[in-house]
Amino acid sequence: MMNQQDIIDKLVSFTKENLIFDNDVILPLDRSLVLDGYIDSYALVELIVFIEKQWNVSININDVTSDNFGSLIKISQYIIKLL
Amino acid sequence: MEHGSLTILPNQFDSDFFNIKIGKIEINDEIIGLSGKDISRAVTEGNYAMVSISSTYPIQIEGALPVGELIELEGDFNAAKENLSRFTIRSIIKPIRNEDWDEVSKLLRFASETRFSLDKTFSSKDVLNHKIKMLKHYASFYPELSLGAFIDGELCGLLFCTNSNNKFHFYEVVVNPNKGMSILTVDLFQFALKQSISSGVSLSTLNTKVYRHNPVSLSFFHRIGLRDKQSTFFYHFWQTL
Repeated sequence: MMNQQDIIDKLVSFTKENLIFDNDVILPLDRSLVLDGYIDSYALVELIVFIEKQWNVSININDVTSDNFGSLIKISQYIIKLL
Repeated sequence: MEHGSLTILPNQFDSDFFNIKIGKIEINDEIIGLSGKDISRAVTEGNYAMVSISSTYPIQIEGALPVGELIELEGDFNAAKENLSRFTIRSIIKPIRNEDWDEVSKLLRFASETRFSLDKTFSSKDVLNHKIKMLKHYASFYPELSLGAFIDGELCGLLFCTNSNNKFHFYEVVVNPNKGMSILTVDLFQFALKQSISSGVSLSTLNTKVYRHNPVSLSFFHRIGLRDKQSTFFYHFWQTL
């Protein structure tokens, strides 16, 4: 079973390399990447697709809320629930 | 009407929708140097309630109310379609029906600001009614491209498009930010492009207009490959000013 830190590391790595294109950026774990301007709304959809492929899970559109996607920590907690 | 070098043309479209006499001035070298008083006199003599001035560059005329910069964007139809086809459509997308308009009206509270909503001389009720009339106008011509995104039967997003002369134009997109976040936007655009292909119309260009003060939409269109083409700066000039 993957632990939360492993999930966060993978999310951070994907976000830096594929959505922000800057490996040196320091991402906040407890704040919204969209609201803080690190990624745009389109990139969030790309992140959702990545999560589904990476962890072989299916994300219901009703779950795409700020409660589940409002920060990297919240996303990691949501993924753990799906696994 | 002519006033010296100043020509005001009636804007029948907006006049009908707002039920006041609205005119428009397309800026040219001849009106540079005119004062606010010149324009005010022409507006009054023409019995216009409001006249909008549009210009491809920022202007400064005393008394003119700047209400926004509208950016026209264009891109390749097939490139955008390919870009969006990477995603799975997760909501139910279907044409807006007559019985959906009350829900459309409610959803429009999430619409981004326009030059009309930013001009506080218009009431918010008039701006909403204007928007609904505009959308119904487009829906009457392009019912199959007037789309709603539904989650569990609830209308959570809408997109209105038109197509003509090989150009596919995105007119209005609004999504409920509390439902599905940006997924609905991607769903709607992807469906609309597929829909236009299945209708058999040959399309090569995507086109839209977005206000500068709407970075979320600008970013989205840049992401699917559209590029800024030109800007239009709008100013409103009321008879009462």
